[in-house]
Amino acid sequence: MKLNRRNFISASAGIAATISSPMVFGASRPKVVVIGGGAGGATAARYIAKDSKGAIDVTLVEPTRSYYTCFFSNLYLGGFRDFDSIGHSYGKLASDYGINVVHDWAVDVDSSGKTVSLAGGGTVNYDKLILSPGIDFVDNSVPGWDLSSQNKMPHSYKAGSQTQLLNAQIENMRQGGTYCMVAPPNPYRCPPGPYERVSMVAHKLKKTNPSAKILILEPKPKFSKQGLFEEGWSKHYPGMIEMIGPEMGGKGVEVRPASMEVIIDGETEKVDVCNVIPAMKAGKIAELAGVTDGNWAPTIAHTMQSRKNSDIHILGDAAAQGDMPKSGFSANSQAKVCSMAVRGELTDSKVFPAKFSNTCWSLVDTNDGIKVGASYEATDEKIAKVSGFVSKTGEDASVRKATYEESLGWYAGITSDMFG
Amino acid sequence: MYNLIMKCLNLLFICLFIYFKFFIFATFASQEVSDDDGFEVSDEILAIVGDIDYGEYLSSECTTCHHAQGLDEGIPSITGWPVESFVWALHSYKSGARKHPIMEMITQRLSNEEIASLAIFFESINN
Repeated sequence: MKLNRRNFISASAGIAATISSPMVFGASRPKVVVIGGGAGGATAARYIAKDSKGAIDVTLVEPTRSYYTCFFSNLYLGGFRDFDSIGHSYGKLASDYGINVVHDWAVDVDSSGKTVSLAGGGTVNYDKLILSPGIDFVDNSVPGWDLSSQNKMPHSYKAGSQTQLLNAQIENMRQGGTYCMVAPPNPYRCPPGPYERVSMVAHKLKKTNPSAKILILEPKPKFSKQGLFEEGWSKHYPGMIEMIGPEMGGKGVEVRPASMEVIIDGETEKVDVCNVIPAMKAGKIAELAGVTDGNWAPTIAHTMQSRKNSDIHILGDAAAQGDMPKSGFSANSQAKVCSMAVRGELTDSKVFPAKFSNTCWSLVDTNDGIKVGASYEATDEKIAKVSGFVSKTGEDASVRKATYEESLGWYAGITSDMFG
Repeated sequence: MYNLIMKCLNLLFICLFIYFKFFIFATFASQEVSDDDGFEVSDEILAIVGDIDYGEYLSSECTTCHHAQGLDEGIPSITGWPVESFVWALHSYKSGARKHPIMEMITQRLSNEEIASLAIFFESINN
């Protein structure tokens, strides 16, 4: 669709007349509750508060006081970032934007009464609810593994203590030991993430434990930026990384956390560190709110509204939206479209046509950055890809260095966009 | 005599070279597609006055990467630029004269009016 100033869609009287909530400022300001303070939720809360200039009462429900970003957590594993540098607080969202930040778990949603129940016993009411809960894991997707095994075999796919645990296990691994990754099936959060992680683990082991091995158990026939990663691995870490694909037993792996064993095509192998990344689904609260269909929550691309409940919007990893990858960048991009739509409905502000974009940077080794990205538009059916690009194999070292430096700028940009 | 002929031929070649270089440059300039340095934006495009509210909405696509308070490590700051410089830079990516995969992708779906709106919004941000 060609966009210009003349075809703005103005959300005027028609939409405003249909909403049931009070429109008067002050004590009865319309209420937006956002569940989940990551790239989708924090961005949505901040943009709604900032752009409505106090006309909308925004509450953000997020259990953690310090949020550690999944993006760049691999760089911590590689020794390129310290842990504190990927942690962020919600202080500015409260002090500079007037957002009511509630550190609690949302445990239920009553969509007819429009209330959210909190683990601490309280409830909050909403006119519009935005769910950005990220991911949870599908039970029994890796036989032998469940959440009670996550200290023995960490997933480290929600950043925080799990990331620190995996880092400690890698640093304490015996000389010549094996780090094994059970890679996830599609669709999952951060498509290049597991392979950037392999690169960062290899970078660390090359320095501290050069005879160590990395074993990837891969259920997918191909993965994001595969050619670029494999080129980098043979260049920087020759002989260190072995991948067993789906045909050779990489699919349907079982694990035995107590004995640190993996069973590959009936053969038992003992490993030293086992990073199990199970199959994923929308964060549990999406299911409790009644907006999921299977593992994910289907959305309308123009507004990021749930297809099952027009007062609930879904952002980021939890959404089944179409062509966008599940990434922090995507969630941030979707949050802006959602914020505009929510403000349009609640305060009659101007609504412009939705547009989305995404870029995922990955680090393969020092100053060897690669990226993939695309632009998207909203159709009635889905978020549809318009055009894209990807780094090329054999690129000049100066291009790769510039790509890495660009990713550092992006990190500063997006975290400021999320947390103020 | 031989030397004189060679000098004349050299002179001729230099003249031809300068002529063709000018010719090539002139051709590219007329299509408004050349390398970055020679890139020009038409007066019609520069005359478009943007809508600052629309620019503010569109800017949210930029601030995922370009720091909203103008930090410029790894990714350039885009705040506080004069409108004409901003319009020129975005059109140089849009035309492909200036190369960057992300910037080419983003600008290729921005209309001339949208670029003008972004320019007027970002000019207003002073850090």
